[in-house]
Amino acid sequence: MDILKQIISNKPGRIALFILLLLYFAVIFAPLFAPYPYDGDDVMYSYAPPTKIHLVNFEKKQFTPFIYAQTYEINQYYQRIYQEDKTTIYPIKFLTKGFKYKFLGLWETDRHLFGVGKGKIYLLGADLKGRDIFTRILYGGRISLSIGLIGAAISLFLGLIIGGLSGYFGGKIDNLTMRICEMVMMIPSFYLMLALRASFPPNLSSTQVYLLIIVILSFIGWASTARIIRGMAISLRENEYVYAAKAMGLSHFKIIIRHILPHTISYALVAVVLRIPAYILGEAGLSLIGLGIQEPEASWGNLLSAAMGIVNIRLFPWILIPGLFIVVTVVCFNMLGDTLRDILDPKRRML
Amino acid sequence: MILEVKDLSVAYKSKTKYVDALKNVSLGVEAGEILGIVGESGSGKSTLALSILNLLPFSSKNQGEIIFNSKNIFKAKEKELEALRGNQIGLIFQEPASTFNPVLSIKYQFNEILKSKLKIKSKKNREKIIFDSLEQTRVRDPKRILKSYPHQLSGGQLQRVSIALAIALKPTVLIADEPTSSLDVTIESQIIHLFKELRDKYKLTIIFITHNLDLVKVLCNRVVVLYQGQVREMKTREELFKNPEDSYTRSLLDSFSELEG
Repeated sequence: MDILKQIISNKPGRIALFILLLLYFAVIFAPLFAPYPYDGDDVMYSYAPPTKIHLVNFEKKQFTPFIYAQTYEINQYYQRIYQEDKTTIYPIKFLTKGFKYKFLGLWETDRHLFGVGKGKIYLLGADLKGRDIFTRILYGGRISLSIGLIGAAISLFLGLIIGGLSGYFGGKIDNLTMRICEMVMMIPSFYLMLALRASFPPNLSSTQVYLLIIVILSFIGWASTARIIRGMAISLRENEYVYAAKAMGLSHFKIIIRHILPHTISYALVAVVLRIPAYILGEAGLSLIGLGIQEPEASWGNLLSAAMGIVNIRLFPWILIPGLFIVVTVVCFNMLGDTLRDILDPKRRML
Repeated sequence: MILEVKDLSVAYKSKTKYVDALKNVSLGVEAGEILGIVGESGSGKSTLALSILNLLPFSSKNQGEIIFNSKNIFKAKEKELEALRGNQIGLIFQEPASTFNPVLSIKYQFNEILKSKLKIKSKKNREKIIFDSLEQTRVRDPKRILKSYPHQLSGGQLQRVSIALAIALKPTVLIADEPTSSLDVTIESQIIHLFKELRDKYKLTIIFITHNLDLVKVLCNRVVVLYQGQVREMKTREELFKNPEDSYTRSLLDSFSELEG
């Protein structure tokens, strides 16, 4: 709680924390905020631009937000040019009915934060198949944001255990694990990631791919954490209270858990927060080149893969928006990590 | 004889070679006595204490035997050692402020030891043992002390608590490695009396390591003089002070009486 107060009193930390909480809140309640299901396509709206939202209709003296229906013409290059059809008005309704989903996976409901009835609203535009990018960003965020947390947590766990054992016992165990660490760290991580992904069959279900990506990312990530925890464990094991615990006949396991690892926790916390971006980017990288989450499931990486061609970006710039979310998230995690480090490092506190 | 050290040699690894810390040390401890081990710093006193519990660092090597209850400690398995440390041989360190984990409360550390060493499940029984042993060591206001963290207590209080922790496991031998060196004189004398009491009450065997001949004079039955890793003299207290044979012992006693004036 004290840490939380200090984060809030620090401006960059406060902003980062606020944005991240907002993002996580939005993706946890994705079906509530999303007007459509993540795979709800509509060929009539292929690459539809972000829908304009009108607040006031002077002709009809209407003061609630509404949108016009969209129609398109095909120009001489066989491109669709979307236009507003001013004759049809769809008012934006709040807490309206839409597709059915299970709220938090518990009870079924069909309420959504907003909707336009029979019309189509694309807050951030549509993709090739006419799916709502806003919806897909929310659903994709569930994967991208959770992979970061889970992956970082697993590699932290591995790093703590392996680094703790290695540093505490020293000798041969230490030598062996540190050489393995170096081997993992030696290979450029993206190539290692590709190689690991390539060693599994390509046609896996989305859940399998999700788990696989987590495993691959934590396999790459544990090494650097383990090395630093090991260094801390080596200095901590020389503390007199560790000797005292040994003299009391406490088992090695208990000593590591109680008297070594808790002292590394402030470092570990910072390391985790600063490592989460690497996992988010790792997933995005894999999905971008088509080895990660597969369509129709969304992740921020595979949403961006639609923006691989320069023509697409020029004609439909809104398909780059998922990239913006990745950037904002990564920057926020870095800001939060830096703030945490400043708070937890007593030597910096004086500055 | 409850504990016997036979021909013990310990060497620590330095960067290029091994440096001897103890050379062919042999001594015996009788049940119920207080054996003083005297020597200047670097004479191997603490190394001796650590070897009795087989707690020497990985980078050291050792020869010889330490027999406790007719078992060689150096040959014991890890599990046997865990059962031996604390439960049968307790160790009290020089610096009470650093023998406790600074981030855990005293109560937590007490409970942790009792849970894992004595396997006492019930909270009530544990609390009884904790308060009993704190009373034994004359800790004032035990409730407050238990709630506090190590940095909130004074050296004297902490040393009492660590003695309480050691005797809570009811060991037969207690090794005290310069337990009073970092305390002021009034607290020192109180702690020394405490050791005497414990010996009388529980028939506790105490190995008292010190560089202070004053304490040896009031406390110990027998004295071992260590110098540069070797036993120079092993005698009862009266004889040591009456007719020291070894040259080092004599110079030690001389410098001591010089200070006394």
